Amino acid sequence: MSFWLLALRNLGRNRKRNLATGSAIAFGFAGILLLAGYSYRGTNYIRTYTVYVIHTGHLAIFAPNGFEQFPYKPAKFSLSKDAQDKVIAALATEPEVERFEKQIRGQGLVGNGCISFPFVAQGFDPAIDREMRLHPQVKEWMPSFQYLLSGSGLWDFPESMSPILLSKGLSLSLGKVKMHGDFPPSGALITVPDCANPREQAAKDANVQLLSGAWAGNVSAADGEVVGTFTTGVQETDSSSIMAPTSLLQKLFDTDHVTEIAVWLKHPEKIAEVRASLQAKLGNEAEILRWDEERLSPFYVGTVDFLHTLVLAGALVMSAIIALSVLNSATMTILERSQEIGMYRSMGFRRSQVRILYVQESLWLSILALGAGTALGLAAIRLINDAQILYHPPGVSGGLTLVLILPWVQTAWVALLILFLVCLATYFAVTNRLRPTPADLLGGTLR
Amino acid sequence: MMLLTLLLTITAQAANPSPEALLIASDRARGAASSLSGLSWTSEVNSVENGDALKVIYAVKVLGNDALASVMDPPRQKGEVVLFNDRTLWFFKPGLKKPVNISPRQKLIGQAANGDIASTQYARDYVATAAGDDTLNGQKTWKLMLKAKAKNVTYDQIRYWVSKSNQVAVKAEFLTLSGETFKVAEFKYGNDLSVKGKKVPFVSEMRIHDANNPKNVTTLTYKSPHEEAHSKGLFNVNSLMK
Repeated sequence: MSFWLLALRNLGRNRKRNLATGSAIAFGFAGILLLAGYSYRGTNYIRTYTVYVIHTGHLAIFAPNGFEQFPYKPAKFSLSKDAQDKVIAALATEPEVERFEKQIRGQGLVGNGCISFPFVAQGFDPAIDREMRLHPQVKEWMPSFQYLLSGSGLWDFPESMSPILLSKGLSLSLGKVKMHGDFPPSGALITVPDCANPREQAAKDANVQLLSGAWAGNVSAADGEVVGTFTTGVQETDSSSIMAPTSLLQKLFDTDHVTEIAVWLKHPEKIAEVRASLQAKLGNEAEILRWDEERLSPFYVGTVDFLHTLVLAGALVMSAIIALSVLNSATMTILERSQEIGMYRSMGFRRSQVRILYVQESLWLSILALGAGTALGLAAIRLINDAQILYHPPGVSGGLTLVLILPWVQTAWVALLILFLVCLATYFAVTNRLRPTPADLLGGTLR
Repeated sequence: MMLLTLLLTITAQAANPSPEALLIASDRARGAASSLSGLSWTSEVNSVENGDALKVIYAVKVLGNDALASVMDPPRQKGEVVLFNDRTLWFFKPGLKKPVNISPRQKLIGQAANGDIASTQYARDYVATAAGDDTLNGQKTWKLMLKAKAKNVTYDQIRYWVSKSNQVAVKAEFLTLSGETFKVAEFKYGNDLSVKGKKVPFVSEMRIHDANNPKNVTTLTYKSPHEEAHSKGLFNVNSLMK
C-alpha cells in the first residue's frame, strides 16, 4: 500500500478532530475567496473606470511641470500646437500605442439664461469616447455601468453644433431635463427666458452658455447644446461636471493648446518600457505620468491601497487561524498516536518516512477541506451575485452592485500557501515526537 | 449749560456727517448719480498678474442702478458687454444665444471683479459704521466699516477711508468674511464732472492690488466722464441679443 493511500485511510481515525480541523480550513478558505473576489472585482472596476471611462489612459503626457502648474498658469503649462505635433510624431513611432487623445481641462460658469453654476469641464475626442464605451475592458468589468443617463453621446453630433454633456446634478440645477434630441429636428426656439421661473423656462430648449476666463486672462463665453446627461460615478463631481469636445473648450478658453495627451496601450503590462521610450524621444519637452501614479489617479491609488490592505489583513488572520488549528490538531493527534509512531519505527520505518506519512495525512485533509472551502466560497459568491445587493461605498454616486469575481490564479496561490503552512505545522509537530526511541514511544508513557 | 451741550452736539454732527451720508457722497464721485439722466465714461483696465499684462478698454454707461460696460478694445473682444441690472449682472458677447448670469464677485480681469467695473453703489449695498478718524498720506479721513446687506454684492466687508476735505473715497480694503484683507484699492480724482453747471470731482484712477502679492496690480483709469441721457431700454437684458 502506498504512503498516500495509507495517509488517506489514516484520516478515518480521529474523525471528529479531523472534521473540526477540516472545517476551519474550509470556512477560512471560503472567507478568503469572498475577500479576494471583492478585492479583485473592486480593483478592476476602479482600474477600468480610471483608465477608460474617465479617459486617463495608460500614460498621460503633459507639458514640463504641466501636471502641477497647469491650474495656475494654463497658457504656459499646457502643450502648444508645436509640442502636440512633436508628441504625436513620437507616438506614431511606438508600435505599442493603441490610441491617443488630446484633452483639455478647465472650469467656469454654465448658465441657462437666468441662473449660472460653476462647472469643471473635460474636453476630449467624441470618437475616442465612443471607443472607450465599447472597449472590451469596460464591457468585462463595468457591464452595468450607466455612463449616459439620458440623451446621446457626443459622437452622435457634429462638433460645429457645440454638443456637451451635463452631469446629472448640473442638469437638474439648470433645469435642462430635455436634451437636444427631445426637440423637433428644426430645433427649439432659443429665447431669453422669463427668470421668474428659471427652471421651467430653461426646459424649453437644450441651450446653455459656458462662461470662463480665457487663458490670456480676459473673459470668454461659448454656447453649448446639451445632448445628454451622464454620471461621473463620484458624488463630489456629479453636480459640477461637463464633458465636451476638445475643440469647444479650446474655443471657450480661446487657445489652441491642450492640457495633456492621453495614451492607451495595446499591452498595458509594457507601460514602463513605452514610457521610457517616449521620454527618451521627447526629452525635457514633456512630462509623462503613468495612470497608476498617486498624483494622477489619487482615487484609484487610495481605494486600491485600502482594498488590498483589507484583503491582506483578512487573509493573514484567516491563514494564521488555519495554521494554528492544524498545528494544534496535529500536535494532539500525534501525542495520541505516539505508540503508533513507535510501532512504525520498530517495523523499520525511518523517521523521514513517518514524517512524510503524517504530512501526507495533513495534505489529504487540507486538499479535501480546500475543495469543500472552494465549493462553499463559490456557492456564497453565486448567492451574493444573484442577490444584486446595492451598497454605497464612500463617495460613489448612486451606489454599486456588490459583485464578486474570483481571481483564480491568485486564489490558487493562496491555496498552495495554505497547503505549505499545513505541511509546515504538521512537520514541526511530528518532528518533535520522533526524537524519543521506539521503545519509549511504544511504552505509552511519553506525554 | 444744557444749551451749550446741545449746540456742541449739533456742531459735531454737522462736522461729522453720518456714515450713510458719506457713502452717498463718495459714491457720487465714482459714478452713482441717481439724480442724473445718465452718465458715460471710458474705463481702461490694465492688469499685471504674475508677470502677465492685459489691457481692456470699456465704454461705461450708467443710469440709476443700471450700467452697461461694453468692450471697445482689444478688437477681438469688441461687442462683449457686462450689464448691471441693479445687483444682477449679465455677460454677453456677439454670437451667444443667451446672456450669462454672472456674479459681481467673479474675477473680470486681474484683481478687478465684475462689480468693480461700472458704477459704485456702496450706499445701496452696504451698511456703514464709523470706525474713527485716520490720516492717509497727510490727508485727514473718516474711516468706515462696511458690511454687505446681501450675498450678491461684490465684497463681504470693506474698510473704507473717505476724505474729510471733499468727501471722496481715497482707499478701500476688501475683506473676506472672516475679516482678512485680500485686496486693497486706492483712488485718485483727477476728473471733474459737470452736474447742473457745477463741477464735482470724479474718480480718475482705481488701483487695486493683491494684499498677499502686491505685484499683482490692476489699474482702472477713468476717462471722459460726462452726463449723457440713456434710455431705460439700453439696460434691458433682452436688448443685448438684438
